[in-house]
Amino acid sequence: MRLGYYPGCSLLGSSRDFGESVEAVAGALGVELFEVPRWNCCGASSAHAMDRLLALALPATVLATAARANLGEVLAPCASCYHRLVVAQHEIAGSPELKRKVEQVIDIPMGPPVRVLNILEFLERCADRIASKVKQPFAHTVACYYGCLLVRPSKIVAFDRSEDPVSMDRLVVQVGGKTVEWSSKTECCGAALSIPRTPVVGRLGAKIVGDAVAANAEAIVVACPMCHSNLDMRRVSIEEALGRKVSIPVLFITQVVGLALGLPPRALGLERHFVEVKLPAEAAMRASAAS
Amino acid sequence: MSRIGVFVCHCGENIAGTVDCAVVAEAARSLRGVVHSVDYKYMCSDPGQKLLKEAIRDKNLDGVVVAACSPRMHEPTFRAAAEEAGLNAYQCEMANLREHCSWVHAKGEATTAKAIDLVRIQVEKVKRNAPLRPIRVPVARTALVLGGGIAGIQAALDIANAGNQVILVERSPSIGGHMSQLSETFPTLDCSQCILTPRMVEVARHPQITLYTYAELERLDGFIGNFKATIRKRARKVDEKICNGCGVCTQKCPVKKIPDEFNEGLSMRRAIYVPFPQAVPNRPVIDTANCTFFKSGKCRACEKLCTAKAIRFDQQDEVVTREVGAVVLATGFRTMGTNQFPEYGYGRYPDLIDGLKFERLASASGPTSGAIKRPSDGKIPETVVFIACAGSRDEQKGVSYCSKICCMYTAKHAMLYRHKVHGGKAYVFYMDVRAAGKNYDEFVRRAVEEDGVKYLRGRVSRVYPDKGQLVVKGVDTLLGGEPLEIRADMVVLATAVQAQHGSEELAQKLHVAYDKYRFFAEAHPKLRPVETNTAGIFLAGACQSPRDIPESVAQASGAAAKVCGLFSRPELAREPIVAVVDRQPPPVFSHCVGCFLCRSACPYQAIEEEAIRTRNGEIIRTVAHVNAGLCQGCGTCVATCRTKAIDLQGFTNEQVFAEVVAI
Amino acid sequence: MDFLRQEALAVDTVSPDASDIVAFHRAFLGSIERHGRLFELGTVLGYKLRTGHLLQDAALAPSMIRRGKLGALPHRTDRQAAAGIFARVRALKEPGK
Repeated sequence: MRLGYYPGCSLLGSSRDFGESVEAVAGALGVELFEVPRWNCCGASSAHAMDRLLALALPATVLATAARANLGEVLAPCASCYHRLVVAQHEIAGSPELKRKVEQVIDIPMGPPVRVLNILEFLERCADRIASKVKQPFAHTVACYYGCLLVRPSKIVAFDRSEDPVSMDRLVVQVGGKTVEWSSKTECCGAALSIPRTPVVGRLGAKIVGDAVAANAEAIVVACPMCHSNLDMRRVSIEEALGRKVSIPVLFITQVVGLALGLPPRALGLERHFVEVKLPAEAAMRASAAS
Repeated sequence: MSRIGVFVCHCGENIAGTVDCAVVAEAARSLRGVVHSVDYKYMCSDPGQKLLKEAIRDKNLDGVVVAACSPRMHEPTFRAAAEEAGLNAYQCEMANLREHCSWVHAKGEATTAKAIDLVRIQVEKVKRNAPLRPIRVPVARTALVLGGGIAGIQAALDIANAGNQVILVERSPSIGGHMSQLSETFPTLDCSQCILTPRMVEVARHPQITLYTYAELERLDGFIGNFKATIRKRARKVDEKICNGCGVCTQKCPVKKIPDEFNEGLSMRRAIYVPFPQAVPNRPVIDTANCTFFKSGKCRACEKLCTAKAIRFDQQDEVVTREVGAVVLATGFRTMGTNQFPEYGYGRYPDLIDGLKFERLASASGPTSGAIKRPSDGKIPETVVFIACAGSRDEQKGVSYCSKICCMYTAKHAMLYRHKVHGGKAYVFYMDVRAAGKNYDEFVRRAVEEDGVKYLRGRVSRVYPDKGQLVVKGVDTLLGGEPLEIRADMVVLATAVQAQHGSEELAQKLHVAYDKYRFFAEAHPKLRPVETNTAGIFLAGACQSPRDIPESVAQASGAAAKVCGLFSRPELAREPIVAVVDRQPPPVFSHCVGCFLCRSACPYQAIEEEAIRTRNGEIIRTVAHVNAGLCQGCGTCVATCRTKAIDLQGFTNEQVFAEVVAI
Repeated sequence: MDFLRQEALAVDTVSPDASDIVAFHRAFLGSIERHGRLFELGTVLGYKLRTGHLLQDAALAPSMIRRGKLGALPHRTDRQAAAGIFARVRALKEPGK
């Protein structure tokens, strides 16, 4: 399988662990990833909050470049990049007037539409390969946290259910885990307010982490670098809002799959987390005894 | 030679203000065939009609053109006047000088010239008009009522009490419909079953009503006054005539865990069951999908224990056909399920229920004997949140219409809860309160002022579970719009009223129009609310659109009145504007070649096959034949016919071409 | 919502309470214009200078660096392409400037 690949800025920096786990898992599944040549930042939240045309131009450049490089499908593991690419493509496709304006700004023709995949779609597609290569079932009980951008707005993104998504849960079960029913699956983590409004992120994260702990999850599994950062790097702010310490670790779904495939934790970036990833071994044995 | 009379009406200033009527009458006088031409202020008035009748008699007219308003207004008036004067009604035509001329143009010569054109056109047509007689169709004085809810029951009783026969067909094992599930009805808080069951019994006992329950309509053929209904009576596996209703079988059946539909899944029923104690008829039915005998051949406990030996495992469905003259559709409604609301948990939270479930909780004969208890753990809820407009008035995710009954029943539910749980807190999240009926607004006021129900104007964005309760996130827009959270023990959604299951299939079977929500369409939303566009089929109740009990009953009586009107004469007179396939003497027999393009074009299924035979019965040719009872005179077949073998009486090809040429 | 934010900027009615948030976005976009990709260290420094919150998250920097999550240098990509896009967007909004 060959796929275009758009890592995005966070996978190179603050979510380097996510990037490492994506590439490690792709390698283990025999998927060749071709990076979009000379890719630029998609603009993330800052662009669409400040300027509509800029917010469309930046992802449009990525899409046009991918099309030009004959990459008909592109994997964008970062949920925010995924969201911007899909929404920009949808808006431009809906208005020839807008398309002309954007092409004028980016100075390249748009080219044929590119199918953008998020990390969950990609893993769903590899379901058979994963099934055949599982070495160590991930026998843990986790809370799957989807965040905002993977499933909304449902009419444009058209992926999974918007209020109670199940795709990540299914992936976890597929590699031997159990997932909990909990009420904060799609509650916002605070996103880009991480720097300008850190206490808000602390409060929002506190609700999410609190709910996951109350549901007896051993870990929170995410598919978005911003969510990970706000629940992991910002744990101190969360503990301030909760008034107590919580040690529940936050894993990327690719790290969960990678562990099940037998990849070493270091290769999956697990040692770069702020909250130590320590999954109770007895729980693992209990789980495998019970199942 | 024709003797046509022209009468130009001023219609006060409506026509005369723009058209010079005297000039029009003068111009008409010079048309060939016109022997009488006058203008008058108000032709539709008594003196105006007298003018018409006298002219017909005195001048021996054989055709009349009244140049006035639209035929939709006064064609019947002038045609009746013509008949009274001895001229066939269909030799009287109208030229529309008002809607087609004076009302759409400015005063001037051109307008008067157009008026003259319009008169000339009609004169040329009338010259070619032939006298026509209304078509008489016999009427079978039996009505078929589909649906045994309150609307169907009311319609059946009214029609039967007027001396006609009624066949009432109900799909479930008992009549009663949703009304039998309700605890108390607004605005009087009457016990629903107490007011309903006398009617149900009356239907069962009525000598003129034949009741088929656990039955469905399979086919409807024919036309108004002469329908043929094919009804499938499903096998109960119990001989209704021998069964004495003792109920032993329903207590001893070993299959006990089937969710009870009547109690909306709040309790279980057995494989052999009677839907509810007051069921009519009070006879059990075997649910063969869940019965052990039908699944594996074992058990037969009911058969062994039956005191009357009434169990019949080998009973088959019985298909009967009946001749009926009219059909009343009273198939009712269903409510939207709680699984349609993603923000409220996709229906997975047991303590988040819909209105019908609450009715069963509140009902004295329900699964909790009238105590309001949480389905999850049976505890009494201390705080209940009611959410109105769940799914209704929602273009994006639900239906766009208002479901009409929910504001009232939500107030009722909140009141009942407060009456039963004195310390309980009741909150209603609403958008508007629609309480427009008699004593309805006072009822809602009572909920607020006397029973302490807290009304919050705002929508609920999310409901999620937390530590055994449900957290309701909403907003109070009248107090500043601050978001608020209520921890509720139970949440009741007033879900949207929707069309009954199977409405679309039934409408297609009956060739009745329906809208995008599968509600049946009335013939005219303002003036013909109980009829459909299919002659002989009438509407009663919520199958047409959401409505409450008083409206359903009123409409049912209205439909019954229409049916009785239809049955009041032994024959039905229909307008003779129907298509006719020509017949010629042998050897031509007919210009129809039997291609039946007309049959595929006809929207009313009015074209049949007719075999032309020799004296020995051998078929010479098969030609088309128009069923005058079904034909609505649209003329589509006339336009489609390749050989011009079919013509429309009253608007023949000759007449229409004459009009066109006269322009 | 984005429309309201964009309009507020265009007609200059941004609330002073939101100045930090706007500063962050400006710092972020400034980094993209200059480097084509996000240079996190540069962006955070830019934010601190714009808002005066010089010590905010100061304790976080060493732990980020230790975990390999905060690079000292910006990543390489086609800077001219990015700069061109920003310039053309600006030109379309204020023709002649």
